Order: sequence, then structure tokens, then C-alpha cells
Amino acid sequence: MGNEKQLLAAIRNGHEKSLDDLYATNKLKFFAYGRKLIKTEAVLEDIYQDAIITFYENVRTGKVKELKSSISTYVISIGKFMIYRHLKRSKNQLSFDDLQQSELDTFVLYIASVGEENPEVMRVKAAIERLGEPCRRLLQLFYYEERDNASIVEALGYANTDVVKSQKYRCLKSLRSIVEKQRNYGKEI
Amino acid sequence: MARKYDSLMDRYLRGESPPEEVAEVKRMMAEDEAFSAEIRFRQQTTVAIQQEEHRRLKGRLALLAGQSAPQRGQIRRNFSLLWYVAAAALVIAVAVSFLFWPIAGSETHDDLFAAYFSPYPNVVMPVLREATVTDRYAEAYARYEQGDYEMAYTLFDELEGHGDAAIAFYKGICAMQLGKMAAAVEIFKDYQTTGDARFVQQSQWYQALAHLKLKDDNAAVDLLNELAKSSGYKQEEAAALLSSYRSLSVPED
Repeated sequence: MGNEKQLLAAIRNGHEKSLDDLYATNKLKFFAYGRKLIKTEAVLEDIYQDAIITFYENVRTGKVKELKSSISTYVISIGKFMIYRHLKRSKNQLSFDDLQQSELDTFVLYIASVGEENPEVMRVKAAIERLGEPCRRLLQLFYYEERDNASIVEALGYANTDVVKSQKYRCLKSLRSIVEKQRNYGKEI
Repeated sequence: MARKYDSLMDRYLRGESPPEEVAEVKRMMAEDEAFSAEIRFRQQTTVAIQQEEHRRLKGRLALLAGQSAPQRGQIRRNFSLLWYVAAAALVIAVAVSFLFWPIAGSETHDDLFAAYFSPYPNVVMPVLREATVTDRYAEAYARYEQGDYEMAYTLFDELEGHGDAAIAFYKGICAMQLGKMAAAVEIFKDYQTTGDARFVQQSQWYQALAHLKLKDDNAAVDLLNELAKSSGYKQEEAAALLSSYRSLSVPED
């Protein structure tokens, strides 16, 4: 359990080596289960990677702060959910070991939003590529990692939280302007 | 959208608003389209960043998967030094064999190309320069988006050197669509030496696919290796394509 605490702390601190550790530690157990349901190794691998990243990102961004069971139980349960979703089977057939289904809700939300193929989101994604690095990083820290302004001051070296607020507002304005131009350009075509 | 609502919207989106504030935001969303659009925009921004991070991390794991694909019945977790030596020898043997074993059948190359090639989306903004260039510029990208690669190629060719380095990149994609693979390779090589090239990794990916189509396997593999090692564009796909290459390169009994 001590190792688990260390691993969780490493994930929260954004150490990506911990993603590799999660991947290596749970793979055999997951594949032993998954091979009974999915015969194509590449599909199983794809699902497994998504499950690992889903767990990692939810812990890293602080959306999941407390675990009621072992890391492995969570990872395998997320993977099971994804297999059943892939097979379009009912979640009711699924045993979550010692986890309540509600404990997976946050992860399920993440899975849905990562898989969302919305043209507006695609447009924003293309626009983010055109933003300068300071803006991109600032928006990532604020909207994705949900850091507070004081933490962003520390991470990006701004003078104070007021500067963070102004800069974030300007970055959003630039992003919106790029998206608008893309949208108008698309209409002209 | 007025800046005074900035913090209110962010608190709501992060789930930090007390119930009365949630009710207030919902009321404003129902009554004020601009407010509602701004909330949606910020939600889309969050999802866009989330998807990009997911894609990046998946590239990292795909590389790891290539190194540690589990075999049925494999239960060893602590590998001995001997195992590592054996694994290293195997990797070298596979790499050497890969250099010398030709890939059988043109259909195999075509299949792989068809599976991995799709034209890069038009993510270029129209840049307002003098009117004549702007018109041709907009038309070039419009033709590209419409799938009229012949006309787009001609227009990109005319416009090359007018300030936007991306023109050459899109011209290369058009060349591929028109079956001019050797020309595409040269276009991408030139593009990669341009100082303000924004799509360097993208052009390497397409150059690798052009080499694949030309059955120039060594050049394709070199580029794919480079992409698979870097944490950027098509890292995951490059690793997967390399893997497909390897499985196809085993000579038939």
C-alpha cells in the first residue's frame, strides 16, 4: 500500500514515468481477463492503453482524489467497462469486483468526452495548435488541470494572480478569434 | 462576453459554484445566448485539450507496448540480465533481417498505404495579404477541401514562395493524391528545410507514406522510426505501421 501511495503521489505530480509503471504492472492481469472476451490483441491493447490513461489522467488532474480500493482494481474495472462498451454489452453483466459502479462515474465521463467527435471541438483543437506556447500552457493548466491562479503564478512565473487572470482572458480571446476565422472561412468554401 | 462574468463561468465549469450560483448561471444560459455560447466554448476548449493530452499519452504507451507486448502464459516480472541480453540480440536480429528481407507483394504495400493515408485537414487560416494573392490563396485551400487536388496542386504551385510555408506541405499532399509519389517526397524534403515550417513531423509522416507506396522501405522505416521515437504527431500510428511492416516482412515458408 505504501508503494501505491507513492505511485499516486507521482501521478499527481505529473511524473509520466508513473504512467509506464501503471501500464507494466496491470497488463498481464488485464490481458488474462480481456482475452476471454476479445480475440484481437491489437483491440485489447488499444482498450488497455485507454484504460490506463483514463485512470492516470483523472488522478493527475485531481478529479479523483481518493481511492476506495487498490489502483489495480480501478484500472481493471475501467478496462472491463471499456471492453463491455466495445462489445456493446450491458453494464449490468459486469462485475466491478469490490468497487461500486458509482465509483467509476468520473472515469466514465472522461471516457465519453475523450471519445467525443464534435466538429466544434475539432475546430478548437486546430485553433489551439495556432496559439503561442504561453497561451496553450496557461489554458491547459487552468481548464484541464484545473490549477488555481496561485499555482499557475508559480508554474509559469507570472508576477501575481491578477496577471494570470488578464493573460487567461486574452488567451481565450485569441483562441476564440482563431476559431471564428476558421468557421467563417469554412462558410466561404 | 463581458469580463465580469469570467470568474463566475469558470467556477461553474469547475463545479465550484454553490447551488444558488449554479441556478443563476443556468438562468443566464437560458436567457443570454452570448453567455451560453461562451460557456460552451470553454467546455469545448477543455475537451480539446483533454483529447490532445490523451492522444499524446497514448503515443507514449504505444511505444512501450511495442517493447513489451505480453505473450500468452508470460508470467515473469523480474527479468534477469540474461533475458535482457537475449532480448537485445533478438531486437538486433529482427532489425538486421528487416534491412535485408524484402516485403513481399505490391498489394501489401498498397494495403498498408490505403490503411494509413488520409489527407491532412486544412487547418490553415486565410492570411490577408494583397488581394490577388489572397483570392488565389483562399481558392487553393477551398479546392483542397473540396477534393479537387488537381486544381489545388496547380494553385499551390503558383503560390509557393508567397510567404506561407504551409503551401508547400499541402502541395505535397495534393501530389500524393494525384499519384505523384516521387514528386511528393521531394516537395516534403524541401519543405522540411524551410525555416518557418510548422508541419515538419506531419510532412515526415506523409513522406514516409510516399516512400511506402514507392516500396522504398528503408527510407520509410527510417522516417517512421524517427516519428515513433518522438512524442509528437502520429507517434502511435508510426509505431503501429512499423509493427505492420515487421509482421509482413517475415518471409513465407
